[in-house]
Amino acid sequence: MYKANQPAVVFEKIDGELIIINTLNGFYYSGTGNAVFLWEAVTSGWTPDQLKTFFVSIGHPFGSTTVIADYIRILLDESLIVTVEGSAEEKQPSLDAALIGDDIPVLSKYSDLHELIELDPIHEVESDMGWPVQKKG
Amino acid sequence: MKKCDENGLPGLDPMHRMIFRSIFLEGAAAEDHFRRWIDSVDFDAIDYTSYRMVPMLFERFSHLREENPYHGRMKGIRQYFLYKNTLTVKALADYAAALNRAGITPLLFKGAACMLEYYPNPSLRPLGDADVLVERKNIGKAAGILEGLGFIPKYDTHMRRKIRHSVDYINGSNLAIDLHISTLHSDLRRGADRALIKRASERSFEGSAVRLPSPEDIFLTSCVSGIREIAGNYTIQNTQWLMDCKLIIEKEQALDWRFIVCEANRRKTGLDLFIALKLLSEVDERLVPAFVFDELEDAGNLCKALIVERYRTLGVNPFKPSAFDIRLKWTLHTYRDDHNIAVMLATFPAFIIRNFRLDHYYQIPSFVIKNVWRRLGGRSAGRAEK
Repeated sequence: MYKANQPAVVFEKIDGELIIINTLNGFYYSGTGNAVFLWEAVTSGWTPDQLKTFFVSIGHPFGSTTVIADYIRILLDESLIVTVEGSAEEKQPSLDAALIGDDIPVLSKYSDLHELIELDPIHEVESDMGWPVQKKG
Repeated sequence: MKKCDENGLPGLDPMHRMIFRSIFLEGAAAEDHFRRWIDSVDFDAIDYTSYRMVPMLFERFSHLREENPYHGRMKGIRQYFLYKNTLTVKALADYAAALNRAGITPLLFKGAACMLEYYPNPSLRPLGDADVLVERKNIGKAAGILEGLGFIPKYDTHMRRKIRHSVDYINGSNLAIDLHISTLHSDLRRGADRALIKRASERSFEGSAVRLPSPEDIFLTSCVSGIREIAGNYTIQNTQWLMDCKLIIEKEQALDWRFIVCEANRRKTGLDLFIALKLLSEVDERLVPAFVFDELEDAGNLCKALIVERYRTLGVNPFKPSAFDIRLKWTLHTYRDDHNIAVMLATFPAFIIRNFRLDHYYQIPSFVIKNVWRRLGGRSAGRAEK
């Protein structure tokens, strides 16, 4: 099982987007697609096996692909989650997040702390996306 | 940009009024104010207060995305302050831990204290910096520890002079911590914060021990610090503290208003509190009990006198001051834009009588030199002219 690597990691859902901040290195992550659903599932105690079983039971493509394992590997590699000892509960924890079709979870990483802080969220960003997506050109 | 209400009192910018009403009010009325703000705002030229209120606006009105052409950028600003606040809080927590190891328990106040105590989500309270108070005897050690964590004084001049109020520190990532030996710029007497520190309560912050002022002290310091930026010239730059005050009033049902008034008068900040409460009432008149303004009668009279003075400088005299009061003259002098050497010299004894402290004493030589230089037709001189 896994849990969020707190207190080093701070996360929040804003307007359907998953925001994760690693306070130890200042890295900023933006999760879209089913990133919110999977993050919530993984950090609330769902094991990879339970997730796979769940997706198979509803006929979702994630049940037959490596999407879940790949996503968890990224989260572990980035030290956003940590492994915890303990056996999984039979009943899967409830979730607030909803599945968004079969959208692949996408986790964008922003690692230049100084650039992030200095990026003007009014004038230097894509107007429809907002900070931290820098305006092209 | 000068702003004042029809009575000459400092008033809220109409755009800020829309913002605060959209946040303070509920339901359709709140949405109506938000829509009016969206229709009126020039987002590319948004001012400092409006910018810092965006996270709260976005949190309340993100469901109106179809009507909001700035939805994307507002979401970005919400995320930006989540990021910046998170890193500032981490830096503050590291600093508090280092101070604890040195046997110092810091006191957090202003934005940091409000954020921790009153905001449902800390990221909704953008922090320009984090204000930390340490006892005067510990200032050297506390400054050394902060510099050891990679922070440097933002302004060189601060370190060349004896610290009177605070030093602004900044690190390589532009995160800021203000190190204070005094909570109020307007009350720099030694020991002025002793009672505030005594009333503060200790609590754990990210695993470190910190002290937070009492709700009444947080309220008063928020008001007075907020007003400090406008009292000198009636310009309202940052009114984010109105949100802090509103949340304190809402959470602290038993807020001791009489104590706040007494403390404001004791610290000679009754006028600042009076103006602050007037601004708060301008947004929502239910927030401040009417008797509080009665108890601030002296401040109200001083405010009226300030209006008289202001109109007089414009060649208009809408009221007649009831009596000449040399102490009032001094206070007016300290609030005026155009410092007048004759008034300053004539009323200086009143300054001693009224305040018995040295806030403006250091200004005398520079005022004398500046005005003599001016009268001789020379170029501007002195720091005050820069």
